[in-house]
Amino acid sequence: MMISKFVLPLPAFLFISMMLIGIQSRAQSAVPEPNSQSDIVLITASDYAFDAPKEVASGWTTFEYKNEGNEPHFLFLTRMPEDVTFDEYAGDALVPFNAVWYALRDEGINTEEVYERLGAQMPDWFWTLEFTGGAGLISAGRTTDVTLNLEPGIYAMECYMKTEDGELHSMEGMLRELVVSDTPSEAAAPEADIAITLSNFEMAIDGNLSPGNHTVSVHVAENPEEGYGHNVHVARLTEDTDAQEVAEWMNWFDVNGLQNPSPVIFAGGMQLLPEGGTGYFSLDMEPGRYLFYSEYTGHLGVFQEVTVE
Amino acid sequence: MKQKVFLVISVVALLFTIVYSTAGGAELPFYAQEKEIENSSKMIKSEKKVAGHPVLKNISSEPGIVEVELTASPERLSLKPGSESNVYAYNGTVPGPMLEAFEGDSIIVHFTNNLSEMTTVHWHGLHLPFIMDGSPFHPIAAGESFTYRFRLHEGTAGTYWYHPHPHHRTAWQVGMGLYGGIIVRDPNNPLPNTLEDKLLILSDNRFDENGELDFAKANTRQKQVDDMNGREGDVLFVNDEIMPELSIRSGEVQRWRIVNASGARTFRLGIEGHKFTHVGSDGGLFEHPEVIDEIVLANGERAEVLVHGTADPGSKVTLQALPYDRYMAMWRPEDWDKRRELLKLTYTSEPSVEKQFVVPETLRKIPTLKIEDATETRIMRMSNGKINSKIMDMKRIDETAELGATEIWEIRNLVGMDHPFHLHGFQFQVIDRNNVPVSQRKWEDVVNVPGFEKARFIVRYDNYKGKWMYHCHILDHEDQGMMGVLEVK
Repeated sequence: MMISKFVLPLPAFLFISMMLIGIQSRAQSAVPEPNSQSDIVLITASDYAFDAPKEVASGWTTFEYKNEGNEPHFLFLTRMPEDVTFDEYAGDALVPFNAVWYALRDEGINTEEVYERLGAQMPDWFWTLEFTGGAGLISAGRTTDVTLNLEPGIYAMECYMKTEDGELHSMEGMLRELVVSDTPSEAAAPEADIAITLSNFEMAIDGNLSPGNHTVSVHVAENPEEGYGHNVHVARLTEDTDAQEVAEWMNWFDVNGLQNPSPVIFAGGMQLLPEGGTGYFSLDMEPGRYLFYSEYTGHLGVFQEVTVE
Repeated sequence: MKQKVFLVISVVALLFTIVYSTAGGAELPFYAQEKEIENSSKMIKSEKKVAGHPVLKNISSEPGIVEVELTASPERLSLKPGSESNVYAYNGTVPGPMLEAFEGDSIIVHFTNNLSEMTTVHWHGLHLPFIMDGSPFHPIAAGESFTYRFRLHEGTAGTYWYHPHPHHRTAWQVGMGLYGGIIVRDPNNPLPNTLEDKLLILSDNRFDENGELDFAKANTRQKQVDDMNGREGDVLFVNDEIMPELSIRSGEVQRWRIVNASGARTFRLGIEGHKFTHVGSDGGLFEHPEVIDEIVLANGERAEVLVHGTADPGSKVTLQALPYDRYMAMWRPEDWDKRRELLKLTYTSEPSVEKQFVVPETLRKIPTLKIEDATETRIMRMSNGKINSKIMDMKRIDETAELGATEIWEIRNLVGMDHPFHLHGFQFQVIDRNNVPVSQRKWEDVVNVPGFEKARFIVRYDNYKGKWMYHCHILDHEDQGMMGVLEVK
């Protein structure tokens, strides 16, 4: 494995991150029981919907996330506060969020205004949502497994990639309720052979990044006091791919960011976890270059470019 | 004036009488015979007021043949009081005149397209040859004519409708006014012909400040909402009227045939203090009547209900469109929960009917399509604008089946709004919803699947090969390509 870093020009994101209203995080159990079989829950993504069960057990659960669409999709899980319904999330949070996106897209408001408007328009409870992991971007026709330790509650499954026309996948239908029941699963966390530790300004990868199938653990050692936190998307880079361009494409706040078509093939990853949380994802790698990139904090150094030999 | 064609009910009724008796109809359980002739003046009055249905004139004198002329043309009509609008109309009326025939009749429709664009006439719900289905595969160019010929099969008595189905233009053409009702009658009607029979075609439309029909312009917020929810109008119509009045006598029972001909609106219908006896669905009468408080009709669906006049003489009630949430929360209209009035039902001052009608426990026998005979289960995943992640392609065959095969279709709605799923050419029987068996066998051609739910139906591809459409019946969705092709070989 060869690891290198590239340097992004310091974007306005640093400023934006400072502007962000802090998201309260709640620590999950970070002590998985090793070497146990997880329950498998199939979730199929299409353009633009999730085919998924309505309810899953709490505790360690493995989601087999299959992309049968024609565009890349991820699976972003958010746990609702106790007194907030999924319907309220969809109506009262996503709608103003989408309006701000339109202002960014169509009126060219700057990022400072984006956050001002979000701060003014989002309901108070929005800032208490718990981001509880999920699958990173996977390209059409691919499948990845993610294993998460979920507490009982009401969750939203979401993909906020953008269509070629600049519409959020979630507004097109990729938003669905998932109930995590009080009934605990009997599964435990899988055993990982690659460990990723995310902290502010750094992504550490331990393990042998060799060709073949891997189970990757992602542990969030710390989250920034302000901002959404860290996640990981794994992009397969070709010889001609400019990693910096890929990183820029993964900036949702860029009008063309996270918009179909994607510049590279994506192989999965792990969505935002609370501080102290750990989740797992499967990763099938061939020899070549890969970019492990945190969508929200990659510009601050939370990424790795690796070569699998 | 909206109606350019004068009512010819008594003539039609007389023709039916001749046709039927010539065809060997022995008894007289024939709706159009004595009753319509006897009540012709009353019918004309009441139709103007409520039903408003001119009937397509049968120009054939042959027994068992109903031969009519139908023309689609641009017109300038007054759809709502005080203003005129540019519309499309069948034979000069909105809705178009009703097609009325009997099981076993051969239908000949000489259709002329006087529009400036291509169109088709889809005979929604009828079992007929592929080339007569009026699907997007058989467009009729502007200025051209086509004669539709098909036979009404035995066992298909029920309420149907006709509307255009050109690819990408259906929502526009239906929204402009092209739709009409069809009644296929049973020579051995299990319900008494003495019941007042009403056809209520429900629709909605939107008007601009000049009284013209309002369609959202490209790149507007309204267009986006219409694309997502389907185009809904704030003006609701029952036949050709807004809030018409219908009369009923206390103790009387009326048979209402209801068609949801709107482009997207789902009607949840109720009359305060009244119950309905639900006796039929898309493909005709049930086996057993069901007493219900309200009925939900997605667009494209039909229902037959018995309305019981249980209020006192002289009282007035309204048929209401009750709130129905079929939307994703992100796109839900602000006024979705508003109750809307559709029709005023006025009780006459006559004393109550003394001998009240008792609804039979069994209406007819519906053949069973056996699950064990199914040779295939087809899964349809519906997202907004796509089925199984695909947009309609006229050159692509999405599903292939054998003529005569029995199959199960599982319709999975993967998004948070309702999608009414329609299969052309073949009536089906819904088996279960979310794994819960339905109450009884019914013939249907539209199954509404609420958000994140699923439904299974069983169907047998009898008689006709061809390329049959299946699609979401929210017409904007259909036009966007939420449609596929089943080829029966």
